[in-house]
Amino acid sequence: MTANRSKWRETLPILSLALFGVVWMAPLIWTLLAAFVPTTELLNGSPLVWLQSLHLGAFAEAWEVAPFPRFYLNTIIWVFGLLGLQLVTVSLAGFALARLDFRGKDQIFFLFLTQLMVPATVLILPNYQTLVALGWLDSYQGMMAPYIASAFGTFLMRQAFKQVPKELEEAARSDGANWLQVLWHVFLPVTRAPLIAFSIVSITYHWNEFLWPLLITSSVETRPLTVGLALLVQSSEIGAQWDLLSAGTLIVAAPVLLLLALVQKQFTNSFLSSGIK
Amino acid sequence: MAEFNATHDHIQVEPIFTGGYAENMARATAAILSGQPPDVAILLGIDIYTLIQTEGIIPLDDYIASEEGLDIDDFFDAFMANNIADEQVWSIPWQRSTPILYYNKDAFAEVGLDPDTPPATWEELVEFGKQLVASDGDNVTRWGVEVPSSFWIFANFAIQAGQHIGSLGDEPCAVYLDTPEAIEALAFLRRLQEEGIMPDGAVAWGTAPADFIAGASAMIYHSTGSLSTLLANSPFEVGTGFMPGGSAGYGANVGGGNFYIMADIGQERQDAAWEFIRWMVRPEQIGQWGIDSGYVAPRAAAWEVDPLKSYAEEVPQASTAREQLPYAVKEFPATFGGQEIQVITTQAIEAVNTGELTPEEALAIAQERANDVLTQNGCEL
Amino acid sequence: MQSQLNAQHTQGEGRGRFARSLWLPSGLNSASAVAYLFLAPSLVFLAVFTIWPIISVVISSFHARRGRNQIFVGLDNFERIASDPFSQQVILNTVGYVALGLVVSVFGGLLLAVLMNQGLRNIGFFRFPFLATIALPMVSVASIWLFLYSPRVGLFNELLGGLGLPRSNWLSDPDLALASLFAVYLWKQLGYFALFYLAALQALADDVLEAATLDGVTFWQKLRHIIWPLVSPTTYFVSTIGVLNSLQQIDHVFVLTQGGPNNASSMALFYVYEQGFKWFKTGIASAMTVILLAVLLTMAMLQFVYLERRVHYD
Repeated sequence: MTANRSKWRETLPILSLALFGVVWMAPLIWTLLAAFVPTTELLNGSPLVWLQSLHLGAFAEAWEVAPFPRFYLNTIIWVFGLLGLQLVTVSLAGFALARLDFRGKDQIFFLFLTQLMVPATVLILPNYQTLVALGWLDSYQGMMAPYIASAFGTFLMRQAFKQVPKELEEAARSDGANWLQVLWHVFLPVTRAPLIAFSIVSITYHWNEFLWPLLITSSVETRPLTVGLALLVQSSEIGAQWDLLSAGTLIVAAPVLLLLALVQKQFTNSFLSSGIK
Repeated sequence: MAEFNATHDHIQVEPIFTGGYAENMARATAAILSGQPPDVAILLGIDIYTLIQTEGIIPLDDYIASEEGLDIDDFFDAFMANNIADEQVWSIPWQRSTPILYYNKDAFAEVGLDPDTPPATWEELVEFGKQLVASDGDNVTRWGVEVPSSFWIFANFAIQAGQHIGSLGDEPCAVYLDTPEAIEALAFLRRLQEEGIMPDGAVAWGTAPADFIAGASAMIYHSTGSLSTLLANSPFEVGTGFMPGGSAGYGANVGGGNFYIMADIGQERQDAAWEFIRWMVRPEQIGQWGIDSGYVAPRAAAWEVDPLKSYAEEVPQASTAREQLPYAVKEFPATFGGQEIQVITTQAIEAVNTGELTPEEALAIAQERANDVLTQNGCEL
Repeated sequence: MQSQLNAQHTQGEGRGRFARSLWLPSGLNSASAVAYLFLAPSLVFLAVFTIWPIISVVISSFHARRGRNQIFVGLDNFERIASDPFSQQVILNTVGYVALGLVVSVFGGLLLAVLMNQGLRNIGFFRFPFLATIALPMVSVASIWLFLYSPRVGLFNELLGGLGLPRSNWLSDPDLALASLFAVYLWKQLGYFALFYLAALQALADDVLEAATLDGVTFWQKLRHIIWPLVSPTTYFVSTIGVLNSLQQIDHVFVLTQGGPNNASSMALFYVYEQGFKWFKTGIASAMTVILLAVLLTMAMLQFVYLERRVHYD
């Protein structure tokens, strides 16, 4: 009796987790099926019929209907271009806040804090007007601009730089290195982990971003994948081409899922580090 | 488009596809307000007053009358109704449409109805609809009809009841949402649900054709623009007919996209834009687009030459919308703030379709909100 | 700054021989001058894209557009929002959605984390579904659910029908639309919140949890009396990001309902989009943005007070 109960107590949480997992996976599996099985077979056939009618037609069609290769290129340019800029700004600013003494530090710290509390998404309207004034609508730099300064990244790097031993810095300084050299040769090599963590969060976040690029892009030459997908969803006035939509969905999501599968551990840790404030 | 660029050395056209009409209009307005407009835009007829108000477009009469002009009388009257204001022509019809009734001929035959006779009146719609409903226990497997909860479809019912809810003449400050006829029309839509012919709740624009193709709805109201997709994807024979008539007979309001030429771009670009439009609306070109898309080619000459001439003989469904045109009037709402009034109207229909409000209540609220939009846009009511 | 790129090859050449190409003006060796130089790129973009927009949106909220011009209207925009039942509904929807988001992200996140923290082998396999949904774009997620929710061919109604249960009009029923949107959000984000709790749980000493098990306390007692107090800093943090997340994510509103039916699933940020970018009522949209800002800054203030207190009493 007691043995039974304790066994039950051990397996119940595992079962619950498995059940949770199945529920969470179901929509993903359904999407996979919908992309590879023609819709009529999916709705009326049995799993056996599904296996027999597997095809890649929907991918070919989605690839044709919307210029996905171009959307891929745009996404890569905007996501990685932005990341490059961010790595420069957050390293420099994080270093200044962590290791340098100067007047007005508290006030500047507070400015960064404001960005953490007021996310760019809330400011789409005034930021759009700023882009109009700058003539940056429908451009990569316009998409990147609100994110180039990153409070999250700056605080993350500040935290990491603070933990670098003072002696390392002093040794370099006494050898006559200037601060930029100290940052480059001493600090950055030992803070790879937070840099990677920041990169993973930034890539995932911006790869998935929709509203801002939707508002400011208007041509095939700048639109990212997410916007392309949403237009595909809307343009099929008819809403019945589920295989096409599912294929498009997978085309957009594949790289992030791949990244996750390859580096699940770093991925987890990166998102945890987004908790540092 | 590529063909135009190849044959016109001095003009290069770069298409910008921005999604649906509402998105297009949003994009164009943003561009006009920021002083960076495109040269040509394909927008709804109802947007004419908003575009004039923001000084975003130019009248085309001089171009039409010029040597390199256009026979504007060749375009169907119904499709010109939204394109004229202050006695000037502001846009050229391109991909135009009206809603029509689509029906599943196999389902008609199955329940003993004549597959070649769609319902002609509201009462027949109810009668046929009841026969077409099929269920499996309590579960309905096929509905009689689905009417999308949309301002553009509702407007037709009001016309059929005897009152256009938008402006008929050149009056950008008037909508007639709380009239007895409009209330009667919306009450009829609710009745379809109460009689168990149409599913309860709001019907999304994209749901109706999806259900039709899947055989889950025997009849739907939808744009002619969906014709090609429905013909290509339905595993049964698709019939098309006029939207059934109400107490005032048949009636429809038009829709679809028109070419506008923008202000603020300079004479040279405007000339080039005109040349492009002229090329696009050639009878063969615009006819081909009608075949590809399902939209109604808006000028008579297109129907008299190939490819459209032989296509219309082959596919009789393609002519339904054109034959319905004598009963068609100006697109709703054709006022200032039209995009917002569309949404307000749709919300009223949704409120009734979901049983939240009665037709009287919903339309009274909609009228009041629409009036507020008009007042905000400088109308004196 | 471009010189950073050339500097790498000199790294291995021993101390004392730093790359000459990483040059800073010699006058700039005082720490504060260097600090300002290093902060400059960030500060420029912070000023233009965080600080200025906050100021300009406040200004816009007192104006309205007439044709191509902006005119001063005082508090009119705020009064319109306060008196219009549709705007009121938007605010109510947002408050409800965010409140529910807060509760679910805390309790759901904790529960899921406890389940995940079982020291199983292959736990990575069990965690994958929850991580995958975090990584997916919201637009993709919404497109997937559009299919699932489809009234007559969707998976949910097929399943319900198969079980002999009544089907629902998930996205077109005013009582269900907002809840249906919330379910999508929950599916996507729950794993994110669980991650933070998982980290907190793993930082707890094993014997604390094991001791509790030995005493024969039930799972719920353990959760309530031992784990819950120990993870309270995480709870605090998760509730903050829970609020920020649920306010910001509206991509699914676009794809699934466009705020309908009859405004039933509209939310503050979607309202800003609709008023500001579809109908060009920039005044109204700015006023709503100002309301959002006020809420966020109040939250920030509360957080500040809380942190101060913690520093004092710890």
